[in-house]
Amino acid sequence: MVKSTRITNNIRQLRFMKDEMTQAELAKRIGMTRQTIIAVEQGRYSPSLEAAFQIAEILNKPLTEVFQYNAAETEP
Amino acid sequence: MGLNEKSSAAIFVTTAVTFGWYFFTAMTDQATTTEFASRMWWTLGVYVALIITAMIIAAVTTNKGDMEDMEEFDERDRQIEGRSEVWGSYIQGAGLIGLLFIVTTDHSKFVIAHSILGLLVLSTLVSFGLRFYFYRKG
Repeated sequence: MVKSTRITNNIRQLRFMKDEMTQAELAKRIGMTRQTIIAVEQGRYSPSLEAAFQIAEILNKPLTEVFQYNAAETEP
Repeated sequence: MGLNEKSSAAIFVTTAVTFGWYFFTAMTDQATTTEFASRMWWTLGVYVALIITAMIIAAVTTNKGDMEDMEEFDERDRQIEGRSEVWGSYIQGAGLIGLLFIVTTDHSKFVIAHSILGLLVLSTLVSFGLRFYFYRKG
């Protein structure tokens, strides 16, 4: 079982709201692979800050609306 | 599964099977050095052929969308490559030091011993030189 990151996101929902943008299209626009977008959406990979801003910009949403940090999970 | 994942799995399986067979036969046979030299080159040839075949199969069985991933090498690919290469280099370094220890006990292997030592020194210089450069670069 792959461990999820502490960062969650709404990319999947926001893509559909953005004219049903495909993973491939989003990947192409930020210079990533589709596999990376899949991993980000599934919470298996946290993108760099630069990539996160790019994703938010393409989806026309503030960064915090696209990505959320689950601070509670960091507590022991 | 993306093409990069398939390729990694294909190389892993091909390497394990081909060299697993080679080392198994090398440890169990009583062949001469010449026979083993010829078998080693034959194994390397088979290995290269199998890798090429596996890559072709991986490409054929991957859908067109994922094939485009081949053109991109993004931050996740770099992170995965960096992480996995670190573990590979640990094994390589430990193996070379072990080998160096064995060959230095034999004076007739002076050239081999110093070649291995030189390689270790060179790789350390490149590794830490680049690390220093990238830290300075930010």
